[in-house]
Amino acid sequence: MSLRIQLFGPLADAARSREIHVDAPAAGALSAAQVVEQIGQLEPRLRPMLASARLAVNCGFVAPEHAVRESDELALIGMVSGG
Amino acid sequence: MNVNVAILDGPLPPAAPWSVEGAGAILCFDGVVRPIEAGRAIEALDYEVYEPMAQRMLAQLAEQTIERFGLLGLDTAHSRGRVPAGECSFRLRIASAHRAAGLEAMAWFIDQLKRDVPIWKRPVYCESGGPSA
Repeated sequence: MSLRIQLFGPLADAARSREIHVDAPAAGALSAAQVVEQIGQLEPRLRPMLASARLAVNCGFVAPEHAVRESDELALIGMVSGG
Repeated sequence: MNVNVAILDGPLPPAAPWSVEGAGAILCFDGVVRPIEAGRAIEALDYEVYEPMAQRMLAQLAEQTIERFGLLGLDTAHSRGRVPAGECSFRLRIASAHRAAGLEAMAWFIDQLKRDVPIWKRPVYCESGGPSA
C-alpha cells in the first residue's frame, strides 16, 4: 500500500514538493518512526531536517511507535514559525 | 465560557470590543510583522497553514490554557496568506479574574503555539534592498 505524506513550509521547499509517498507492505505495518525513516531514505534533501520533524496522523502528533493505517491523513511537520 | 479561535486571510482587523463577566484583567497581545527579518528588509510575511490541524490544535490549546490557568475567556486569531510589515498577524486576548494568571497564561499559550501549531512564515524581501539591521 502507498502512504501519502503532506509536506509544508521548509520541508516542502527542500523536497520541492508538497507531498511524498512511502510504500508499506501492509496496513499497520509501519510505525510513525519508520515512516519518517523511509522519508529520509526516499528524499535525502530532507534528512538534515528530520531530527526536528514529527509525523502528524489525522491532524495530531503521535508517538513514534504509533501504527500508521492506509486511511490515515499524514503530514510531516518540521520546525514551525507561527505566532 | 468565552472562547474564540480563528484563522483569517491577511492582516487581522482591529480587535472588536470584548468584555467578559467577572474579569478583573483583560490582556491583549498583537503580534506585528516586523520590517526586518534575518537582517534584511521585508515587505511582508507569507503565512502557510496546515489548516485542519492548526484549527484543531489552536482550539485544544485554548481549552488547555483556560483550564491550566483558570481563565474566564480566551480569544485568538492568526493570519493565513500575506501580511505586510507593520500589520498584525496574530492576536491573543485573555480574560482572567486577576492579572497574575492572565500574564502567565499569555506567555504559556504563545510558547506552545510557537512550538507546535503548524503555521510557517516566509519572508517577502524588499526588491530595493531597503534598510537593514
